[in-house]
This record gives sequence, C-alpha cells and structure tokens, in this order.
Amino acid sequence: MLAISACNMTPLISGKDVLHAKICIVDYDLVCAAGVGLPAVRAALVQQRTGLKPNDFPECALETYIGRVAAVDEYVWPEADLEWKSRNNALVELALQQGTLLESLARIRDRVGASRIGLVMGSSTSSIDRAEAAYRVQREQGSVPEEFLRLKVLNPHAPAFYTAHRTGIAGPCVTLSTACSSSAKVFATAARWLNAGIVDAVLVGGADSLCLTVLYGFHSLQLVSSKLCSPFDESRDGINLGEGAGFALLTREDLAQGEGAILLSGYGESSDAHHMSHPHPEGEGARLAMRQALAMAQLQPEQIDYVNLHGTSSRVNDFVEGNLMAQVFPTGTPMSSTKGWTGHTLGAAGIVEAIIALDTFHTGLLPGTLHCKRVDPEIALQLTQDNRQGAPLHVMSNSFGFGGNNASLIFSRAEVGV
Amino acid sequence: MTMQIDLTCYVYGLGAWGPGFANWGDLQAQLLDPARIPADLTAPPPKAEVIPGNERRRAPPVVRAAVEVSAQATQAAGVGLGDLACVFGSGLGDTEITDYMCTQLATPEKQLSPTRFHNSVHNAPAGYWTIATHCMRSANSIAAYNQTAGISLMEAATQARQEQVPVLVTLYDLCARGIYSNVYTVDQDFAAALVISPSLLAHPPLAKLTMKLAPSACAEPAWAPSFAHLCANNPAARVLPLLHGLALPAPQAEASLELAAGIFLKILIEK
Repeated sequence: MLAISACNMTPLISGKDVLHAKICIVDYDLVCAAGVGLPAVRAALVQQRTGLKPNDFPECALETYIGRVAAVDEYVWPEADLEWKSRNNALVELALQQGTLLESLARIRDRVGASRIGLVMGSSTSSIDRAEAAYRVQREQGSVPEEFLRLKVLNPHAPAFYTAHRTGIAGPCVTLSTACSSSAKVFATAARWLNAGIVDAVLVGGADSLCLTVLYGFHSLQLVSSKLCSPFDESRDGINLGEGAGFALLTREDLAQGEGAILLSGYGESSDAHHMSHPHPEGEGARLAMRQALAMAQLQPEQIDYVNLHGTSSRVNDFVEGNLMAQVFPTGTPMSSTKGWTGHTLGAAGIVEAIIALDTFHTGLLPGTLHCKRVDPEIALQLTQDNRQGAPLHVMSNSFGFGGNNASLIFSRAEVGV
Repeated sequence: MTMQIDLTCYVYGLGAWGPGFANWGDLQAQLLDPARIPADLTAPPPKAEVIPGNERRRAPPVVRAAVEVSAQATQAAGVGLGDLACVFGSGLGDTEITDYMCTQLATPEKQLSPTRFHNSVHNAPAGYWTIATHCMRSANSIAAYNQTAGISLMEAATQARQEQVPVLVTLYDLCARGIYSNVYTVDQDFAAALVISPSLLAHPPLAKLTMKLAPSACAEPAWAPSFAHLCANNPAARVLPLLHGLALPAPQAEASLELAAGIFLKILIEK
C-alpha cells in the first residue's frame, strides 16, 4: 500500500500547522434532487431513494437522467426581489430557508456585527440560466428586455450578491469558481480569512442549477449518460447532471460557544497540471490535495472513517480516482460516491458532498454508492451500494474539477479534533 | 475602526498589459508621466508564449491576456514556476465564450464546441497556466465584481502567509461582449499580475507590502484621466492604485483596494 504519511512529504506540502485557530461548523443545510433540506436528504439516503429522473428540463431534448429540484420551479419571487430572478438564485433562496441557517446567522451577527461576517460562495455557472433566457428572447424578439439586463444577476459573482442581499452579510464577499471544486474550496478560503482575523465568522456555500450550458456542454464532451449514473460500476458510461445548493456557517472556536460540534480539521488544494478536461492519469493532483489535508489534520489515512468520493460515473474519472483511493487508503475504509442520489451538481458538489460527509457525525449513516452493482474489475476498490452504520470521528470529502483543480476536506468531531 | 491583520508580504515581480502598454515598464512610465501615454490606446495582442503553440491557438483571449501578464511577473520574480500557488481574479470572466454558448443554445440545434465548453470555466486561465508551467500547487479563481482586485490580493496574501508559499495573483477583464456589453461599462482590456512572497528571498524585493483593514479609502492617485477611466470601468483595473504606488520612486506610498462597502485593504508600500 502506498500510504500517505507525514514523514513522506514532498516540498509541495508545508506540513505547517496552518490552522492556528479551531474552525467550527455551527450550522449547515442543503437542497438537492435527493431532498429539500437535511431531513429530506437524510431520509432519501436511508431509503436509498434516488433524486434522479428522466430528463424533463425545458428546451432540452437530450436522453439522460437529471437531478432536478422541483421546488425551484415552484418558487414565486416576491415583487420586491424580482430583479434577482434566476433559477440559480431561487436555489440559493431555497437553501437559505432550510433548517436554522438564518437563525444561526442572526445569532452570530448579533454577537460580532454584520461587517465581521464574510461570505464565500462557490459556483461554476452562477446565473447563466438567466443569460440563456435572455438570448432566447433576443432571438425571438430581436432585442433583450430590460428585466434581463441585471448586472448583479448576469455576473459570475451573482450567488454571493444574492446571498449578501438576503442575509445582510456586510463583510468581504467572494465567489470562487473553479468548476467542480468551487464549493469545496470555500472552506479553505474561509479558514484563511478566520485565521488572519479578517472576519469572525464566514457563511460558506455553493449553488449550481441545471441549465442548457452544462447539459449540452457535457453532452458535447460525450460525458452525459443516457442511463442512471452508476459511479464505479463496470457498466457506467457517463454522468447525470444535477443541481443543488448548500451552506455552512463557520466561526473560530472562541465564538462557537459550544455550538461547534464539528471542526474543519484539514484542507488540501492542488492542480493536476495535465489537461483542461481530463484527469491526471495517475491522479497525482488529487493525491497531493489529500496528502495536504491529512498533514494539516495530523491524521493518517487509516484514521479516516468515511470518504465521500468525487465519483462522477465517467469512465476515466472513476477509473483514476478509484485506483488512487485504493492505493492511499487501507482496504475497508468506508467510502462512496453519492452522485447516484443527487447527480453531479458541479460547482455545488463541494458543499453538497461536504455536508453529506459531515452529517454522518449526526446520523452515523455511511452512504453506499447507489446504483453500483458490480465494481469495475479494472478499479481496485471495494465498494457496495449498501449503506453502513458507523460512529465516524474523521471524514473526508474530495472534489476534482476541470482545469485539473482539486480540493480535499477533512472534518472531525470536535471532541477528538486536532 | 482600523484592524491590524498579519498579511505582510514582498513583491518580487509585476506584469501588465492594457490600453497602450504591453508590460510593467510601459505602464510604470505612463503612470508617472502622462506624456508617455501613446495616442493610440489599443492593446497589442498578448503573446502568452508560455503556452505551447497548438494549445495557445485554442486558448481564448482572456486566457492569453492572463497568461501573458503572469509570465511577465514570474520571469521578473526569479521564483520557480512550480513553487507558485496562484490566484486568478476577474470581475466578468469570459463574456466572449458566454456570448458564443448562449447564442448557440438559443438555436434549435444547440450545438456546442467541446473545447469552447471546457474553456468556458472561470478557472480556464488558472488551468492553462498550471498546465503550461507544470505547477501542481493550489490554483484559485475568483469573481467579486468591483472588489475582485482587493479580494484577490487578500486571498493571495492570506495564502502566502499561512501556507508559506509564494503566490502569483493575476487580474484580468476584457471588454464585455454580446448582451453583456449592455450591462457592463468595461470598454478597455486590462490585465496585471504580481508575484508576492511571505518572506525575503535571496534577491531584493521590489517592495514590501503591509496591510490593514480600514473604513475609508486613500485619495485617488494623481494620474492621467485615462487611468481614472480605466480604473473606474474595468473591475480588474481597480488594482491600479496599488500599481501606481509601486511605480512611484518615493520610498513609501499608500494605496487602498476595496473589499466591501466601507471596508478597504489599506496597503503600506515600502521600497
């Protein structure tokens, strides 16, 4: 086994204990095709009920399955907020309404003030759905009506603009857009801001909605499956696109006041330096990101109790990732891809899957790999579609994106965290 | 309230490309002496020679502009390219590709070029850069509209300090295309890059930067109206007050970049 260990570090890993402050996650929630809000997502995971359905996305004739959040279609914009209208912003809105997110944020705001709270969002498409609609109208009518020309919607920063508007967060705001690792990297940036004392709390999040750009874009790359996606299965032949949004509220330990039962204990970020849309053949960039995260968390691979894999169900990506994981982790480390429930939510995959991973501290439910009936014999990984029960202390979530952009996160239960 | 934050770093390299200037030397001269500003303000095409020929032909203009200034800054810095983490920031991203995709998707056929689709990600410049330079470090890609310059520098400085790595920070925004030209006032192309290091290297730095959070901005630099226009209308060019401070011959200067409404990164520049 090619284990990662702290004594086998390349110069690319500082090995420095860079998380000076303990970073606590005081609240989190999400929406995705598997469910609107944590209770619904938990139920879908327990019951192994997929959120994927045959493609019925408007204007899209592709034969595939999609992870559509039906509640987004039902969302009615209040008159005062019509200028913010986009499918992506509706997803953000739905996510913000879940659970106790807004109450937790208000409590922190009362303590530190709105300008001491930062906002770090991740998204790959932002509100491009609205631009698509604008161009359709332009083609039909010859001009674009004013209602489409909204600077804060037709903007890569749109998800953060809308979230700041809705929450009153007045500190620094940013949207990270590194394709499918976008909303995993939000945790690293938030940790740096907290460490540096730039802010006292950070709302991190991510949102990506279904749109023609990604449906036809991935189709052009021949990566979209006409079947239900089945990560790591021998029969897999591509991805199902999904949509999702999620948030987590992070503070330093001194401000968590006992709410922070979960710690961000490590993160790693790296580049493949290989190709814009193909992974490094040996997964070197992904390996590096995991090594950094483990070094920062001061953990060995065998101490990780569950890994949420990127596992898109593409032939090449799953092959590279599966064999890399089999090298890095001991046989028997529980790991799975949850994209069989959600589809690939692209820029939201980081936050959706980080939340699924860290919520195992609450539920003890370690999801299986839905639709994976027989692992590809070319992949040296033991996976099943069955869920398991456990009492995890440390979990990892990995996200790898176009441009060879990799992020690995480790979360720990506070009582055992570093 | 002014807050001290530990973001001290050293500038080792600079790159620039924009209306009437092809490199940092040109820009520095023009920032200091308006008489050096050429009558023709069209930007010369960025060379981006660090990207191999066939890849370069596929690279969109935003990638070529970002890679060109990154190459300039790193050549000047004398830092191993593989050792650099990078932060790429752009307010608009690639509106030329967005215009192409949305135009195609409005047709009944909805045919997209796979290359143009994978080039459409906001992190395309970071991807092309790390591939061309064989860099496996962290690469970030940021959008924060008019705060993109300040947020990107802050992101680069926090990373440099906390992870003890030199960081390339590259800002770029090109003229808006398609319906985006009805939304944005960006009417000139601009890109600039800085290489910062958390500690002193073997050779002397161009400047030391000490940063703090402040509730107000520094006064606008005394510069030609063309720079005031560029800075006001191009999100990436909002880094120009810092570049002006770096261009000045004085041993000390101050500049500020906006992070949020009423929150500024105030930067003491020492040479």
